[in-house]
Amino acid sequence: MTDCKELPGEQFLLDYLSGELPESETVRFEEHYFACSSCLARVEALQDVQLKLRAQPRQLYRAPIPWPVRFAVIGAIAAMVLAVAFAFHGRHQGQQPSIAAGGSTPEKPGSASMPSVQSPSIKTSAAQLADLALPPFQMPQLRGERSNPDFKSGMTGYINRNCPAAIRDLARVPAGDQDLTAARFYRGVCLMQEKDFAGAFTRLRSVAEAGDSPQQEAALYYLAQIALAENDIPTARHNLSLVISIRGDFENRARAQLVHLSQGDAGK
Amino acid sequence: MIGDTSKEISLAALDPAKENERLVASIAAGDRDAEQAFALRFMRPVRAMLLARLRNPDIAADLLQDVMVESISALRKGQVREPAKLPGFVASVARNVLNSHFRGAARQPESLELPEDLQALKLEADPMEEEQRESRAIEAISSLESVDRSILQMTLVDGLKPAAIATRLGLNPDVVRQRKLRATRKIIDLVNRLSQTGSVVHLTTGRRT
Repeated sequence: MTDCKELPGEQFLLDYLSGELPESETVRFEEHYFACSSCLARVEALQDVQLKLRAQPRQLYRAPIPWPVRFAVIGAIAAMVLAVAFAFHGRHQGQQPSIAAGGSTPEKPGSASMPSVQSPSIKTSAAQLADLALPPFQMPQLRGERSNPDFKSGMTGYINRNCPAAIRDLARVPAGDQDLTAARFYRGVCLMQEKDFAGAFTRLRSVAEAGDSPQQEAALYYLAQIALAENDIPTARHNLSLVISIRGDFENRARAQLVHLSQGDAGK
Repeated sequence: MIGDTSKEISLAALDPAKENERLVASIAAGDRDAEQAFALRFMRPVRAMLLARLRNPDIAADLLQDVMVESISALRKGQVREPAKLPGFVASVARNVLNSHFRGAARQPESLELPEDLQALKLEADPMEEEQRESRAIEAISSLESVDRSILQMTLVDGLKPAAIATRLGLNPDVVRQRKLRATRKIIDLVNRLSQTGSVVHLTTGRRT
């Protein structure tokens, strides 16, 4: 039952059952599982659960505060604290480089934190457009799940914005570990934060090319940001287009950046 | 004739293409046992495919019979050009039946005299097997935490994306993605483990061991 070397990932199966795979991939996968008992068993297992879940009553959901609202509130409070602090010191800071460090509000890159694209050179605009802020990470609290200790300590460093420690610990996550893809991704963005773009590019590309994973879309997005920071506009455009095609959480940000790039082209 | 069951299993395991060729040749030669073996072998993947495309078990059950009747009709007439690629042929017949269904055509399967002793062609699922599959699904679902159950329900039934699920459940979208994938993996592993410890149905012959 486990002799198939092309067992599809969980996301692929979910996409298939949700009818979200492209037709060509759907046909290829169907012709595969017509001859592959392992893959057929995986499809059937999920279909049986799908049918049962359809018949089950919905649970009462707690009414949460949506994440965008939380980010907005936290962002507003942070902005007020900063404003008070600056006013207290009574000093004006000069124009800071517009590549943001951590702490920006990643949900709203197209608004206040987005640098102007009215500069005379499109290359300068592209670099200013790069969103190099560390993406948020929340340590999963799954019962019965064991995270690799190096991954855990690396991500603790990450949460505390200690990128050198995170890079060091995440590099120790062994091949084959369930957290390896996540470790590569967060190591990549830490390297990006440390301006080691070549190192970041290698890690993020491996995540993007590994296929379905929770970090795939984000890896493509940050690859685009590295390209922007390096003024490699064609690569940035390509990766942003890939992000948009995934239609995930980074879609709006990617669209906004593509619009900015187009405006830069028009203004040349 | 199909012959000894254990021999069939080992043959198929060694060379599926040869098994396909033999099945095609046997059906063309009028071997009713081969038709039965064919139906039992392909009923499950055809059902899975129809269910995935239609998401309606009742319509899938109706079309399943059409697919099997049309496939056997073509096999009897020797219309399969590449016998080694029998699974692909059956999949293409299933796609044609689906396309006709979606176009709303009143498709009538070619007249085919079904052998009376071909119980599998009635395509009534084995009630015991159905019951076992249902039990495994229920056990798999009950093994999930309630939040994971909700995530899977919203993914598989409602077709919601992680961002939308995260908003509803008050979770981070990354956490939703992780939980969704881990819950899916857990379900597949559990269902497959349960099916291996229970009675096993070999796809090659469809015969219970």
